[in-house]
Amino acid sequence: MLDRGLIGLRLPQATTTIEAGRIRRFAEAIDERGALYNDEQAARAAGYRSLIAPPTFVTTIRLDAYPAGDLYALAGLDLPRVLHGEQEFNYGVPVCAGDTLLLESEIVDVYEKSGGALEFLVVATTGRNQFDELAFESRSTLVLRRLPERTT
Amino acid sequence: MTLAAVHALAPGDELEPLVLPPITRATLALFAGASGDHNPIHIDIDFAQAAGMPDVFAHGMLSMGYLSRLLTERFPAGSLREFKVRFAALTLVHDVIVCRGRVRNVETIERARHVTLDLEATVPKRGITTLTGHAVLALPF
Repeated sequence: MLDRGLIGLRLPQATTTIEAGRIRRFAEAIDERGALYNDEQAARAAGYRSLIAPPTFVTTIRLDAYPAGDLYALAGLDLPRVLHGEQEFNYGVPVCAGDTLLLESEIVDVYEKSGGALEFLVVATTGRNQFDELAFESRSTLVLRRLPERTT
Repeated sequence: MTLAAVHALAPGDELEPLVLPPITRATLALFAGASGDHNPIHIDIDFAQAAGMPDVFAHGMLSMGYLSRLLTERFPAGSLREFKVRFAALTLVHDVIVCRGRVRNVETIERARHVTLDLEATVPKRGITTLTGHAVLALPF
């Protein structure tokens, strides 16, 4: 069972630099063909420093800064039980390739439903760019399901 | 959508749905590497079965990424303020996902038109909704 004492646990600050190739590969994986996410010249012509990150690339930034395994080890999560329950983003300034982001992340809630059959862990993360502008806030709810009894 | 069309949106209006190609194992492998979500439950059937699942299943963030294209393909970059989803059901290999958006509310705040959209991803062939959520966009005049 998850320890409610995890609430308020802050992960160490982390910095990550956004690579243009990483944005392009991500855009390819969701078949996002918009020029601003794929073509640096088009992005610059539109007034951005470089390629901009698609909206859900925020989770990739978070995973690059905080490998999921680290959080799971810290919170004692059993990987096969983990599902993604909810995801919320609030956006500030756009994230551009070449930006260096400072991330701060905290476990903000732990609770259970259905008499403990499902447990929930909520992680809030903020990202600020090299100009100290807020780029995003992310709130991820992980669900821990109870594993079925092994029959073999 | 032209900017004029975006500004003309009214409650109840529906965005043109986005119909995705069927999810393949290659889709999931590509997304795992590109997204940094390496959880083997999405790419390794042995791991998935040991975890009590019949097969691998899609990353929730893959569907949220598809849903984001409803927004990026129709609204100006940088206008998205808020984007939230609940992952209501698993998306399986071979599923054909349809993403839909409908205008819930339009209001003017500080010289920008704020459009709130209700969003969903469904798999019509199985009759299920996999994601529900909403987005708020701020469109300057």
